[in-house]
Amino acid sequence: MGRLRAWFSRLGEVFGKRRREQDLSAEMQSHLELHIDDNVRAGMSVEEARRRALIMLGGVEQTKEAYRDRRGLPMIETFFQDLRFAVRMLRKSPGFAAVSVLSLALGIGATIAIFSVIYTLALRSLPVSQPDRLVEVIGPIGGNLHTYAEWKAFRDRQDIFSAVLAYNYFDSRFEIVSQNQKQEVSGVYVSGDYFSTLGVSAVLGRVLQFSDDQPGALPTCVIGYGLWRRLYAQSADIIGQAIRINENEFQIVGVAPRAFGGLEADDRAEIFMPLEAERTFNDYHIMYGKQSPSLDNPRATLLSIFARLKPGVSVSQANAGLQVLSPEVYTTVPPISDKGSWRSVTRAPLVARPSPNGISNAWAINTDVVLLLMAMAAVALVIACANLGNLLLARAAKRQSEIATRLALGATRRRLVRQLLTESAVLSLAGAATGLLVARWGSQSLLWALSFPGEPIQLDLSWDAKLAAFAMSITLGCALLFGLAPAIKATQISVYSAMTNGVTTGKRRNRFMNSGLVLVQVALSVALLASAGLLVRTLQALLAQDPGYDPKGVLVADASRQGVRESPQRDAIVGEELLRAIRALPGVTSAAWIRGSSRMTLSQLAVPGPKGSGRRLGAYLGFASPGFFKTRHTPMLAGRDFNDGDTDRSLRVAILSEALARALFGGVNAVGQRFLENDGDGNDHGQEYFVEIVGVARDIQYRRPGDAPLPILSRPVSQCGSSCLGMGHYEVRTAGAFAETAKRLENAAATVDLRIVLKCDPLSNMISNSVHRNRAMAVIATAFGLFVGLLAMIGVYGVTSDAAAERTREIGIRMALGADRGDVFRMLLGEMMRVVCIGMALGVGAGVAAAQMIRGIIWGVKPTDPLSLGFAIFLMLLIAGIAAFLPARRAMRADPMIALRYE
Amino acid sequence: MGDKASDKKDVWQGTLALMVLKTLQAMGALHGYGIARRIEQTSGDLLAVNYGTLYPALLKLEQEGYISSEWGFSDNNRKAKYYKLTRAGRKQLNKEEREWEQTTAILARFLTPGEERS
Repeated sequence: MGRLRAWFSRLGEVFGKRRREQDLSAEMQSHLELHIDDNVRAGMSVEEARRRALIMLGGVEQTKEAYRDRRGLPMIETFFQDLRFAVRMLRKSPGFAAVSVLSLALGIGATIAIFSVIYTLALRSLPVSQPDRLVEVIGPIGGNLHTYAEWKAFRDRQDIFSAVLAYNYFDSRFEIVSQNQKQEVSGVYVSGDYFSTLGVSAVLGRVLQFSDDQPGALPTCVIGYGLWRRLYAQSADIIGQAIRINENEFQIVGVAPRAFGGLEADDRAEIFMPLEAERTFNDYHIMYGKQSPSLDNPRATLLSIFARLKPGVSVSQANAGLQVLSPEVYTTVPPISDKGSWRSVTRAPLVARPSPNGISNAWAINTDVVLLLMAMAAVALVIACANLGNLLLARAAKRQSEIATRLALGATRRRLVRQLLTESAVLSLAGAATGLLVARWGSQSLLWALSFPGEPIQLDLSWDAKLAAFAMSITLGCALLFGLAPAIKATQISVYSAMTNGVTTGKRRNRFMNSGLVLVQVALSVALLASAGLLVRTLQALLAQDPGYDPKGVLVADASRQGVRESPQRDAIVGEELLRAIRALPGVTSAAWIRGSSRMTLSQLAVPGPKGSGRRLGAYLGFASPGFFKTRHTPMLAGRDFNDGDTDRSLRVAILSEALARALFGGVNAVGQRFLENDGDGNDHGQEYFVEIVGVARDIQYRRPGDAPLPILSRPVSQCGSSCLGMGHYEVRTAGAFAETAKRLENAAATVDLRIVLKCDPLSNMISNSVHRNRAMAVIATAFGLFVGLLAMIGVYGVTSDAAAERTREIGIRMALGADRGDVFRMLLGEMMRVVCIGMALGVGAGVAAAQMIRGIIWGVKPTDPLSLGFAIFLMLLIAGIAAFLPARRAMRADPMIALRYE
Repeated sequence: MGDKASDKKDVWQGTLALMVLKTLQAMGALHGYGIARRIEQTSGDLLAVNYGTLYPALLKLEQEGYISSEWGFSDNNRKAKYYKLTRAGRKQLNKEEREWEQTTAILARFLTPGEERS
């Protein structure tokens, strides 16, 4: 009890220190006076009495010190004392403080920004019960998606897992209307056992149950916490309310917990609907083509399956079970090996894969890019630390007499090191605090960089304890990294020499350490700049690539009819009318109408040949009106374009892309050949018919430049029948300005049908969007490169001016002995540039090694691209040159007399 | 640096604390110098090393709530800080006295047979 009480008492004594100090002095004073009185009474002289009293007390200051150790909590007190001192020291040199805090803020901020994205995408456990017991059940053919029939067969037969779930993420964007508010949100279809398997319960209402996911059940849904807050202001009355999701009515039964957003880390779901709900939709025949709900489509592999391991069962035990179970599942779900399928289906057993973090496509796609950025940020941070270490060393040199004095007065080295480290920690914390702002902004821009335009990656970037611990350890790690060496160095001085000679005796104290730091900085900067150069060159190469068409002057208009759900046939009539209206507009040189296929798989082509010599191939199918290739300025390599003679009653015709023609026929002389096409897509096995090839067109880049050209099969829009999806889009080549043309198009659309909505974009946006990620990478890397270059500049400047100051006397002597200014200048500049050059040589090596590692994201340039390396070297030379030139010139201009007297 | 020194001090302060409490029990309120002199007189040269060591011990006792202090005036009209036992201190003293007696009794039993009494 006494001890606890004492501790609280001491804690209280941390405050009100001055009064206590006075109290102590008074008590010592009174003690001495009482003792002196006694001694005088015993017959001593006052002098002697005083001397004896002091001896008996054992020294006033020593007693006070022992007393102070007992009073308060010295650890905390010295910490606050150090803190105050550190802040005072930093305020005395605001320039130094600003530079350090800023460079740390950028370094720490960038590191935290990128790490928080990595953490959220790939490292954070799902907010479900026992996430480490969750596995994803991966299907055959490498895909991790399953059909509904497979899922049901699996669910009903398995007794390997304690619970299983499936969800459909095929379309995740839904338009919801509730209380007259319209929003587009992410959503997911889930099986009835989804929430119970995950162990997630509702914060309001209930979660979806097995009974919700039955044929004929009333469509119900659970909404996410964010949506609940945005749309309903967290009202409790929403349970039982109706919500329209893509024109279909659902009843809200519950609200999911705040942290829960489904199993995909990069696309947080805010609406959870039962898989079976799709059957009740009145529009799936439009959404998914003509046949049936996607559930019944044996080719629609749309489901991901997750399972919870039984207690005590390991993943390999589960996999052994799956080996046995898989054939059973496959016999109940026959493979799609009918005449319409040319895909040979070999069915490997199902495999369980531990997935405590859920699924992250964004991570899978961007791993290399994000890791590269992380490395860059780490490099930037290390350089910032090195720089700061350098600056602190320089400061330590200036503070030598202060430190020597304190050592002489009895401060221990440990105490001084602790004090200097506190200063570093203050810097680091200030940097981290500023860095948090940078991090916030940085992770948003990183997500922007990684997203494809129009498909934002949605992450829950909120902080948790682990992330905070990471940030804190980074911050303190930095403080140690840049603070420890200078602190130890600074206190390793001989008190005697420091106090007698001063510090300017030309001893090359820190030269080695300083140079080492500059060397590292320069090397890393060059490597980073070279990498940035490669990314810029990649972007250039991509943009310089011929996309197979001329985007200049072409406008793309996406068409849709708001609130209209009509048959594809009706869409075709309206679309045809609109095309005619557009073609009639003044200034339109040519226009085309393009519609996508509603099929969920590649279109299958077969070229029959004698005895197994036939060829089969999958191709991307699109339907185009006559004039498409003309509008795009894509040359026909052989044959003809579609024309008005190609109708739904005439011969079925097709135009192949160069890549497809080459794959099927080994060249472009495919015109006149025929192939078999099957329009089946689902449980109706479709019809097979011959299609004649009438033309071969130049390859068009449809995805990202740099990707291999896709095999593309174009068929006339007039022959698409019912296998087209929506109203498609129009491409218009005009001489007029974009805005003006867009306006005219909208007017034209209004004359056809008032409900048509057009979304116009220049075709060139397609190219710029397709290189979005590369451009973002180039921008980010260049920003890092320049930041690091700037740091290196500060570093070189600091070290050179330091060296010059330290050698003021030497320079004075040299000049007095006849060295001219040029010699001094060359000496200082030369010494620094030697270090810089060695650093650059190392940097070139590091840069080439780094380029090897990022080979996956550079394109069209060699890892040893001389231009990138050359530019990095040139820039570094320039930066280092300027940074070394200024202090060297200052030293050169020094008056030798003043230099000699200096001290 | 001073691990050994502080060990020694702790042992010393343990007994010193008991002596302070006992002194205050016997004398009532007393200032630091008075306590020091009293302990010196009763303990011979044990405290003669220096009086300074007394003050941290006093502070510790005060923090633990066994003694309290207030400023007052000495016989010869000097301002001085007076310490006196608190209720908790009285209890603690009883406890420590008992413990001390036990310890010494045990030690005495150990040591007596080895020592030749004349």
